[in-house]
Amino acid sequence: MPEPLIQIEPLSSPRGGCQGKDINYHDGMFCHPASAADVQQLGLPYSPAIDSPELDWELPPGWEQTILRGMKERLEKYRSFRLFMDSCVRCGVCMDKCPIYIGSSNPKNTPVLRGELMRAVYRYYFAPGGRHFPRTTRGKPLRKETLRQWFYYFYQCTECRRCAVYCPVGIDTAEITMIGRELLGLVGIHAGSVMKPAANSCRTGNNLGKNPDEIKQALDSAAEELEEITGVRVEVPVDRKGAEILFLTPSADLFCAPHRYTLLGYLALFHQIGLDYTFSTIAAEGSNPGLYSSHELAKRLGAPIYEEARRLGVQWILGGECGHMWRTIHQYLLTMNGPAGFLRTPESVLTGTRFEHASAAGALHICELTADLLHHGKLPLDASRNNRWTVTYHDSCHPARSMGMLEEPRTILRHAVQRFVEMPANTIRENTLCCGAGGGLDAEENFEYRMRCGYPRAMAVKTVKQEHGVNLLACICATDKVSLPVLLDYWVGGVAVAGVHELLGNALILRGEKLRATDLRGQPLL
Amino acid sequence: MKLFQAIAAVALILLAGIIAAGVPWLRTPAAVVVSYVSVGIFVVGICYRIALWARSSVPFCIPITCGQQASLPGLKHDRLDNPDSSSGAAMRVAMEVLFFRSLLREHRPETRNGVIVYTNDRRLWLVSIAFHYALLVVMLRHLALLFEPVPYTLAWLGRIDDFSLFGARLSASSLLLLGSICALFFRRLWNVRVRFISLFTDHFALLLLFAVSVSGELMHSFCQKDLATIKHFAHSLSLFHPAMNAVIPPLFLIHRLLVGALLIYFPFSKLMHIGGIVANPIYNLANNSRARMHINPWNFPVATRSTSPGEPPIEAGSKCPNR
Repeated sequence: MPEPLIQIEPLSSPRGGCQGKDINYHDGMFCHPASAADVQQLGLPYSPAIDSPELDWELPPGWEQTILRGMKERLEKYRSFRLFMDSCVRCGVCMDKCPIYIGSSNPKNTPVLRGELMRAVYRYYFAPGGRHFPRTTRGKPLRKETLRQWFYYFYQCTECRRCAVYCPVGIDTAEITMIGRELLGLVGIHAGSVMKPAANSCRTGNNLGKNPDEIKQALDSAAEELEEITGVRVEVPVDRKGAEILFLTPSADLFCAPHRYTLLGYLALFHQIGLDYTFSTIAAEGSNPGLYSSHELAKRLGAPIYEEARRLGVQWILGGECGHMWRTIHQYLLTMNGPAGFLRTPESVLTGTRFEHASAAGALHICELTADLLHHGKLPLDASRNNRWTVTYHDSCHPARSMGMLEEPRTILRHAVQRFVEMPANTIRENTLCCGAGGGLDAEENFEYRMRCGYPRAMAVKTVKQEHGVNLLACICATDKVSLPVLLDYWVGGVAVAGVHELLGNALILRGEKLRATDLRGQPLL
Repeated sequence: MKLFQAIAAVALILLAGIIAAGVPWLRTPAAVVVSYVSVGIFVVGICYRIALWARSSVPFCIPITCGQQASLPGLKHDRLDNPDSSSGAAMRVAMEVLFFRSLLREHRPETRNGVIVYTNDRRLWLVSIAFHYALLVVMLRHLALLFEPVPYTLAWLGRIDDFSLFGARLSASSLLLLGSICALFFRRLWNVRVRFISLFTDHFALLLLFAVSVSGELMHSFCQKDLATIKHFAHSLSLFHPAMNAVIPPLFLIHRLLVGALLIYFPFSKLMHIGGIVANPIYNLANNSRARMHINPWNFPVATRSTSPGEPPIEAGSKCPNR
């Protein structure tokens, strides 16, 4: 087990007052500003950052007015924003629910004080008496220092929405963070880890910036890999017009490990049930980096999904394992880019189930499809092929708290593996803890942040590792699959990370398959 | 510092009350003016706040889901924490308002033996429920001042709420109110985290409520003989024919002034937090955004891939050797 590099004093007590003066930019905790090329690709305002230890921006003239106009506009456009500015009672319940607070003990890195950064400005300019009695209302005028604090702390919120589950007045700090980032964007302040995939997505349709031929190649080689393991040759249709279903999955599934093993699982499943589907080389991404930056950018980057569905003439959309993608599809896509009258209600041919809950958006989660197939006993499985693993399940934030998809992946796991245990009750389902890299914070430079923010999750894994010998963490999110292996190596050690459909693919007995010698990772079966 | 400011502010209001109460000819006119001004500001302020909330739109369907969604017939749908219909969402809001459901999830994480252990903690829930329901009972009992004869339910409420101890007439609800205010205040000072995040308004609101309930409880115990006068006076106020010749007790004016300050402060402060629950799209919307299209009233066209200003986008099926 690697030595902990960071000394964490979890849940230690804060000193001083919450409206203290300055912050020190602590290296390793924050994301770096975006590059000009990425921001210009998207046609957004850009302020060059002065590269100093205390990050600073050359702001355009009149930036105060831009921010205040933007705030006023958003107070009228988003009731959530206005309510959350008004109703915080500072009860402190959210503080020790925020994973980054548990992992860092910095009281300013809590939902309440993150929101307070915005509320102080709101009270000064928009609340009655704010400008006249700033000492009693505790309003603060907008200064350059304010923006530096906003950038530092709004890009340390992973928008996981855990605080909103506990807040007695229902404040969802993710909303405040999203609006805060939008306002920063108005004056040209962006984070590189958000703008890079966004620019890629705008140019190519996927976050990794892969061209259509690269996507085709990746899928073809995945089919070859699957044939080597199972002896079954599967067809991977790409950009096929007239298919029934458009399959949408994060591009990471095609190019990264351990995502790729999950892709093999999808391909095996689709082959087994004879799904009439196609990949698209343009809508080869569901994860929407726009949502980490602004609602407008989310709408722009989400548009290709329905455009491609229409162009290819598909009847409905099937979505792969991805957290942010499912927040966007479930809560935003139809409102932003709909209506989708050209799609019809998703339907499972084998079981006859009509998925009415997805009727208007025409988009179904793959776990919903698979859970339904398993419920009807349509998939022959050999769970002993996963006997190498004792599995626990990490609810990815958005499918859990913005969708409520809790039982579908568990149904799959209960069928596909023999040893499945749950982590402690306060760390799963709607109480699930963030992996530490959500909300566009999956950067290199904020390594310390990611390790700290994921610390509570790692501790929950450690608990079940000690008690039950868990050695595999299953999840349904591409960001999880990138961040959790590093996190678990750092804090726990000896626990691998896999997609739920990788485990299903291991267990699935394909028609005409050879005697499998290895699992989808190419490692010998027990 | 914030605490001392808050203490000073409440003391100032109290002092004004004591001075006005000490001048017999000023007492009744002051009570009349304070009553009308504070209730006026309260009503107008609340309408103003509600209008602001109502004017803001709800562009996206963003409920927070705390249970299993309605998806497959084989999976048990959690109707209460993840409603898929408006009636379900209304039920959820009701549960939040009446039983503070979210607060029931409160727990404390602690490190023990190198891992984090979570312990459920219902104390804040208990104190909050006690505070709000005690306040409700106290306010309902005040309604009795406006009716003659007192309606049966209110009289009944008074009978079960009142009790005598060592000859003093006490009310259970106002004692509970006082106790829970003390507990909340104690928590705010004792819990270092909560003390750290507290602002002036947090201390001020609690101290003001404390002063209001102490003065109210004192009146309840010691001004029973003036009850008829106070009732007559309150009744006359409600009819907009203030009885200027009423001889009201000094304590009543002090209480009235403190309540007046609270009413004036209420609409412009965090005390309006109920709106955060009832009007809040994360509670009052059903989680059915894939089954029904939620309309964004200010939806607007955006530049999509093909119309973005940067480098031209890649077309489907094309080979792009440049990167």
